[in-house]
Amino acid sequence: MSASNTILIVDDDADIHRLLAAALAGENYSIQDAYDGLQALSLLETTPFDLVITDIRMPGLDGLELSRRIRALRPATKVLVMTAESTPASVISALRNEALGYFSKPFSLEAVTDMVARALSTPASHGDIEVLSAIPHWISLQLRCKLEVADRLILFVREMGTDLSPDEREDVGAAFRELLMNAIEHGGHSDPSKTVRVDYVRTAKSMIYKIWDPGEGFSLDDLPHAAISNSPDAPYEHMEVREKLGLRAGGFGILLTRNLVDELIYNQKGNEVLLIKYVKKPGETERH
Amino acid sequence: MEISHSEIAPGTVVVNLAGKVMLGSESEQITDRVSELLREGKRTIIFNIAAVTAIDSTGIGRFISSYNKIAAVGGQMRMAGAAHYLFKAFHVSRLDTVFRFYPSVEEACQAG
Repeated sequence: MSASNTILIVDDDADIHRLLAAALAGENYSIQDAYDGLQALSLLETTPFDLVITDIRMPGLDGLELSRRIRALRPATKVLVMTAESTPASVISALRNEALGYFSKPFSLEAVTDMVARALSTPASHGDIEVLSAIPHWISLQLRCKLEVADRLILFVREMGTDLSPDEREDVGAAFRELLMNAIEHGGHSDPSKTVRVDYVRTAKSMIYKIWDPGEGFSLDDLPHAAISNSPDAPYEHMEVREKLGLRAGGFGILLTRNLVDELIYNQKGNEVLLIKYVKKPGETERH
Repeated sequence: MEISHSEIAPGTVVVNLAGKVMLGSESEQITDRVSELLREGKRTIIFNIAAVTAIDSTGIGRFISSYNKIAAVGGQMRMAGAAHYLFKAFHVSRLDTVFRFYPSVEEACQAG
C-alpha cells in the first residue's frame, strides 16, 4: 500500500480515534482526526483525503449527512461508515450516499484493517450500487455486475440482521454472497454494463432476499458442474466436470446456501432466487 | 489471505493460512504452494486453518484441488484447527468425510 494514502477519522469519541490509529499504525497511512462532522467538512474543503472513516451520531453534522456532502465536495474520496446503533434507515442512507462500507461498533480491529485496505485498493467508481427504492422493511437495489460489488454489499447486508445471532448473521451473509456471486458471474458474466437486482424484504417472522440476474437461467436438475448434483458418497465428483469445462475451483455455492438458510427457491427460468431465513423471537424455540 | 509454511519433520510441512480464503487470485496461492511443496518431495501437508476467518465456494474448491494433487502422488493432507463456522462449511459440503480434521496442528502431526 502506498505511503501517500490519507485517511480522515471522524468521531466524537477520542477512544475510537486511538483504537483506529493503533489498528492502522502498521500500515504507514497518513491519518488525521476530526471530532465532529463540521470539523471534518472544514478539513475536506482544503485537503483531499483518500478515505474518510466516520461515525454516524455526532454533534452538529452527523456522519450520514457528512457522507452526502463528501459525495458532492470530494467525489473521489471513499467513505466508510461506522456506528454503535445500526438501523435499516442508517444502512439505507449510507448506501444512498455511496459509502463503500459500513460496520458496527464494537468492531474487530482485524476486520477494520482489512476493510480499509480493500477500500483504498478499490478503484473509485460511482453508481455500482443504486438504491431503486427503500423503506426499512423493503429495499430494492440494482448492482453492476462486478464481483467486488458483492463484497461491498455484504458489509451492508450483515448490518440488516442485527437481531439474529452472530452465527446466523454469518450464515445469511455467506449464503447471500454465494448467490450474488453466482448472479454476477454466471448470470451477468461479470460484465459491468449489465446489472443484477437485489430485493431485501423483512417480514415479522422472516428475512428474505431476492436476487434477479440477466442470464438465461438454469435448471437445478442439470448442474453437473455443481456440488448439488453429487451423490452423497462422492462429494466432489463435480470438480472433474468443472476441470473439463475450464471452470475455476468451486461449485459449492448452492449446496452451501441450502444448508445455511431455511429456504432457497428458484423461479422456473432459474435466473431469480429467493433466500429465506426465519427469524425467531428471543426465547422462541424451533418447532419440528 | 496470508500463507506461510514450515517443515516440521522430513517430508512433512505445515501450511499456515490466515484471513479470507475466497474467490480471487489470493486463494490460488494455496494450490500453487502445494504444487511447489510436492515438487520438493514433501508428502504430508497439514493445513493450519485456525486463523482462517472466512471461506466460500472457491476456497473450498482450492482445498479439493490440493487434496487431488496430494493424493495423486500418494501423499496425505490433514486439516488442523478449523473453527466452528469453518468446519460447518466443510461439513455441509460433505467434505468432512473426505478430509481428515484435527483440533490442532500438534494432533495433526501426531496422526499417522
